[in-house]
Amino acid sequence: MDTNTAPTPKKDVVLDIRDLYVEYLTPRGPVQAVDGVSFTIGRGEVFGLAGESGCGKSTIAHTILRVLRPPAVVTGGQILYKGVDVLELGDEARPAVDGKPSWSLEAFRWAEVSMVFQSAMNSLNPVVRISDQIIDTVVKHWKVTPKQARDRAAELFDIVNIDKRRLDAYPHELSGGMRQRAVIAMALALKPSLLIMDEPTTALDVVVQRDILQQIEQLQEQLGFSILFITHDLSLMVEFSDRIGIMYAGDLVEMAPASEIFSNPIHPYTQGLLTSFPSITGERRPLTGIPGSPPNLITPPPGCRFHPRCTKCQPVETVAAPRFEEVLPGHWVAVHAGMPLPTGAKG
Amino acid sequence: MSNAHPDHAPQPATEPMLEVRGLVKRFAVGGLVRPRHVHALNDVSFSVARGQVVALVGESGSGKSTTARVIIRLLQPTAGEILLDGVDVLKSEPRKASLDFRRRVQMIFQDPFSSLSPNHSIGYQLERPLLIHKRASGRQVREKVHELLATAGLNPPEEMAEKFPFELSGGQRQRVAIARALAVEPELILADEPISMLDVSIRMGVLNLMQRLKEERGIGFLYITHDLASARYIGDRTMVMYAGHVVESGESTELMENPKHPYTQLLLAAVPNPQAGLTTKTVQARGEVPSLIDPPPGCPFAPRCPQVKDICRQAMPTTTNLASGHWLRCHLYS
Repeated sequence: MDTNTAPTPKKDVVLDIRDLYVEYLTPRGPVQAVDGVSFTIGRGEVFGLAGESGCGKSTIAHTILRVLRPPAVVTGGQILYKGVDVLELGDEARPAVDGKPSWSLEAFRWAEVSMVFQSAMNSLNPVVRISDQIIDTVVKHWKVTPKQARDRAAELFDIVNIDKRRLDAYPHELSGGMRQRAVIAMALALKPSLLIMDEPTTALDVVVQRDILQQIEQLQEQLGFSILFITHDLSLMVEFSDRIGIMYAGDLVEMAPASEIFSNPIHPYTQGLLTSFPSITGERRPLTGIPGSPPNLITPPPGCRFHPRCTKCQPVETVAAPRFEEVLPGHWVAVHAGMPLPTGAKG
Repeated sequence: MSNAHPDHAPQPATEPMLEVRGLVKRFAVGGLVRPRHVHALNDVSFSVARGQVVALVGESGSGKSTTARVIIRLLQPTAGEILLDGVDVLKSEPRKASLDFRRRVQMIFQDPFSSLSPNHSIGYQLERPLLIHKRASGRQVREKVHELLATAGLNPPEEMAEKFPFELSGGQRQRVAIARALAVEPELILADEPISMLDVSIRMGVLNLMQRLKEERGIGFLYITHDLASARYIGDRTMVMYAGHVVESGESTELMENPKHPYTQLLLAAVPNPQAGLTTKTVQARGEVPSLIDPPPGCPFAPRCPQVKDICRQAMPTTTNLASGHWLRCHLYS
């Protein structure tokens, strides 16, 4: 896909991903997990990345935080965070160029970009008290006394609505919802500008999920950080995000404001996804979902990767690779010749 | 497609096929001297008719799966009756379920990655129930296997029968699990979160398959889920479970349009709904499901209930019948 067409939002840009390629080198051949993805996240914006398992959304999250591990390798592209290419950060901070800040990898991770993982139980150390886990992080990055760090931990517990008396609890002593709150507290500990949330509430019950997301929304308005929100639950995403990118098999296939994605989906995959979620209100009508299943990315289908499952498939889709274009203002779609577009859209 | 939908389905027979009465299940935990008990199921009663889908919804730990495991006789209930066509199977076959019971009641599990044997071909795994239950013999077996695979939408069946589970996607595996349950021509299928581990784009395919089996073969389903929207989609009736109690039950559309129990109202308000923003609804009841180990008397929802009264902390409410098969257990209505 063409880098020059990377979307430019009106707000100042915190994260600018340009033409990112990531491959997993497996014995059976390279898996093209992220195949030329470009998007930006503005200051204070909630950007949602939706897609099915294996579509590359978590790989992108791990690449931004530079926690990708072999056999995954970045084979192309740039991740510009406040203008600095994250992929080039090393152990030492380099001198600032043109007034742009620069960080060592250590100073970048968690202080600038932090992450909330799906399973709180697996991201907390089971044999260390929660307080100590937060204090460790704060002391390491902020060069403060343990006492001051503990005050920060208490402040964070207040922010995420956990009783401060639970500070010295071990993870197993907290309920699932409280553990996830503690993980969010830890992610906010160093006041990052970008918070990545990878399926943050998938393991939780709906009531707790809503409670936590409402709280994150309030915090985000108060503190002004940006969020990269990753989930497979499109209805949740439409409710929570400002803008949404839909991924399929390593490609971004559609990107638009949340309400646009919901009310005016253009890509056949997005349209199919929206018919995969029954609603609790309105008429009960039969939903079809999408036939077939996601492809094996060692040998992805040529051209549009969605074409074997596409109900609107034209022969052209099997040969021509789609281009990611702005077909309506702010509404980007992976288009190719012969693809049905709504009136007024330019492909 | 439109005629394959619950609203157009023939009304299920009023005669219940499965009837569960006063089911109680307690698990002993810790201490030989002073054992404590997890009250997993408390006085659970409901019925499923032929060709009816009854959805059982609730949060994790509410007792949904325990209900299915007790009915299929993987767990022995502490008290209660399980009637299949009027016969209490706990009395007629007290030690273990008979071959006949196992033919009539089948189960589909949540995780299609662990419910199939990795070492055997799909064909082999479908032959076993056919042979054990003597549903086919000789050359018929192969034909029957292919027929089952085709019914479950696994095409071409000749090729699918030769494959091993690792060669299939999650959705295909779940279809194999359904085909295996169908092999013995069951009358009732207990489906425990059959779509929650599948990719979102293929979930509807599996639900529509269940819908078709209900309509074409009159199979009754107990559909266990935490997802209210899918319960509304496929369930003729929906029961809401909380901390081992069924707190509200009714015809699905009626229940979701007109929820009465504060817990049902809370659950419905929490379901993501793209038409409304997050901030438009505020969750009123904070907190989480209480511990089920020797719980205090009264309604289990009382500690979280925004409309709690004194009586709620003292006694479990009895059943109140509202109109048209809609009932609940709540002191606000008794």
